[in-house]
Amino acid sequence: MIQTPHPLLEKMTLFWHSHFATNAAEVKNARLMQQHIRLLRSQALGSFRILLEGISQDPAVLIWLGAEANRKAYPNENLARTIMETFTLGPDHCTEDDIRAASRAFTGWFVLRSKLRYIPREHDENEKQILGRKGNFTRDDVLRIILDQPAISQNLVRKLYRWLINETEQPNEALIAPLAELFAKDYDVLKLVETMLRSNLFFSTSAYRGRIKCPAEFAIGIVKALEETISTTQLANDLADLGQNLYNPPTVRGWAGGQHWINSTAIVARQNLASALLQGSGPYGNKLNPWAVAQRHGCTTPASARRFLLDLFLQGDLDPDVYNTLPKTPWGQDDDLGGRTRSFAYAIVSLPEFHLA
Amino acid sequence: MSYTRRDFLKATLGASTMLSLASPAPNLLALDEDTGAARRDDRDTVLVVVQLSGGNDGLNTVVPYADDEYARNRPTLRLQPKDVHKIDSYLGFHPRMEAFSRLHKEGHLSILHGVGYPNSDRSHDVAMRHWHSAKPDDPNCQTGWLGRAADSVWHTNQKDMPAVFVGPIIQPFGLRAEHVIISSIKSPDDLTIDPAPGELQPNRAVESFRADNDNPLLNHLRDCTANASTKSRRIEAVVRASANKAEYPSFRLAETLCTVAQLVRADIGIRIFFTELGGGGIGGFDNHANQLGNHCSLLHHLSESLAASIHDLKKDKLLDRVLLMTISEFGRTVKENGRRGTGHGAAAPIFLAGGKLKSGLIGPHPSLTDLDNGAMKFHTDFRRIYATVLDRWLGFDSLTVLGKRFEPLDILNV
Repeated sequence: MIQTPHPLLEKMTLFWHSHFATNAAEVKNARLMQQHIRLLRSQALGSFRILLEGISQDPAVLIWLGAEANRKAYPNENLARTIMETFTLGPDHCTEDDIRAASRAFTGWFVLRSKLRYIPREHDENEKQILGRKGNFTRDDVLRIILDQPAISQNLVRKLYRWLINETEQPNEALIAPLAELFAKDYDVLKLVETMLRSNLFFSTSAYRGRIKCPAEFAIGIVKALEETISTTQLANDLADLGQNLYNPPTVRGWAGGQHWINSTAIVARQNLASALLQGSGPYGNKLNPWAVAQRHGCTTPASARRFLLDLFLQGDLDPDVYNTLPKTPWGQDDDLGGRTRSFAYAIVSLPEFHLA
Repeated sequence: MSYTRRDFLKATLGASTMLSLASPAPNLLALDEDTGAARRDDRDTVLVVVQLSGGNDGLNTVVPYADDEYARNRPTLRLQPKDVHKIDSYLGFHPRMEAFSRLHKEGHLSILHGVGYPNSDRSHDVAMRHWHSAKPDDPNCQTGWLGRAADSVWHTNQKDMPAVFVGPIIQPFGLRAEHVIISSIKSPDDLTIDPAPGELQPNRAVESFRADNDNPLLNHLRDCTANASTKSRRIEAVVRASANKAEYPSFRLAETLCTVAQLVRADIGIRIFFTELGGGGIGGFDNHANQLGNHCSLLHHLSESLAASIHDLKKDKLLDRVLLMTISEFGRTVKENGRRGTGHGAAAPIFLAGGKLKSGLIGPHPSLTDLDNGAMKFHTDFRRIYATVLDRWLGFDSLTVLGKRFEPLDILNV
């Protein structure tokens, strides 16, 4: 995420990582987990259809859902339930009977020695009725039937709205419907995201500071703004302390996000992470240097560095009352400008406003 | 509760520490009245779970010294009647659990006999998972019972974190929540704000974070930022005030419980603490060979650490708010194996400690002859204890958390 030339791709990969939430500690196989993330990244801005097909046959997902063995005699309901209730339609758009029938269609698929296998004699060849259709359906048929349902594009557009635009306001139907219709045509994620990001709405006030940054966005926002790379092992541990243990979402429903990211303890942890990042010593070394970055961008005086940092982190937009709480000791040329700029940068990124995107 | 939060703060922080706070004391107290409103109920009770990893041998913890079957089955591991701390004419505490014996006499320790669950599993991972999920019938359960408990009381605008893990191991599954973020900490320092980089400290006057904006997210962030700085200072004050009171033994569990006591004293809204003894994973209580020495030292650590924390809390009149509970994935086989150890068993005793316990011994000791595959049978489902603790102690709804009603136990004096 830090070194990518394509931040939007990473941001969308993270979106799908929380959507198709799979927990590495439960999969217990790093190679399969890597394969899983590669799948997410390959279609993060690609086709949701290909992504869903990939997920339904991804060994990591099957292991995580306890669906390594889909026997004819014991169809595994958890895989079908998760795909239908959590990954696509939602519980209001499918019945227990649909889920049971879909799980019969999934029989025959196994994960054996970390590889996906199909054992034809374990597949239930009987007729199934799923979402109003009847037939001797297979796994691929089920996915095709699910992807024909309008609920799926509705759900995903709403979820993307939360992820990209605003997470407190419920978008109205008039806004969602055309986007959902567009998306349902070919499930082209890039086209959907592009439409949303180019919309007037994205540049409107409701999209401004309408989301709480997830821990990764918070930390990587600081690191990337200061044009550096840092130790990702240390950062991964610190993000886990903030509630976002990458590769290990808590449940199949991913990270709840939004206001759930924030309580007083999380604020303390975020401030301490900001302090560690900007300290100039300790676990993150002296890589991040706000004064050097400000100079690189043509700032020669402390005052111009202050303005530069405010623009960089808060788009220069801060309530005057809050602005007045920032350290304002006059800086002379003899002072330790590097250290003072660190203090100032820390004061900005530990403001409540900086947690919003 | 007969005293108010204000009294409690006065009693615990003391006048001298109050003066040393960075912010003026009256402000701190005034603010506390506000933040306290985020609390779901005013009882402010706290649950501390102590996990004994590896499967504790209940028979050599609370010893049926007068039972011939005990002596017959444990030719090398048996503890002698003259060495145990006698509870009655049948049972006694392990010789190194003198502190537990004392707590028991003082009415601060209950023993719940024969705790387990139907068709209990004997693999560490599976059994511990069952104790954590509290849903042994649902192998796909992805949340822990305490995580669900934390989720069940979460509301938008909640400022305080309801639960925390204290210890050096990976956070146990029992705290896995779907919504709420539950931190893992090693010491109170992890909950206090570090100094700023460089030399200028930002102005953390809470007044500057007024939550009067029309953006609800920004208001929540401002509330939490102000609350974070108040709570952080309060923890620092409590830690400073207790710096010279080295009344805890130098065991890791004792340090952990000292941290818990400090955080209870700082009154920062945490209702559930999770701690561990044995090292996690297949923990130190798993003694298949040469059990005697190792088990003995773990029980000593448990008993001394717990007692120190009970006395610490009692001294500050906080004991009535705190309930400690031990859990372990299973007991051991009645018969020792050929290597002076024991195998994985089933039922085992659970300990409760605190200031509001009803009685010292709860339920009959399970029979040493009517066994299930070499292990004692349970008569009390552990989820009945969880349900009792949730409903009657924490005031959380056990039906939401456990998914079923379990018959409560009459074990608490509340």
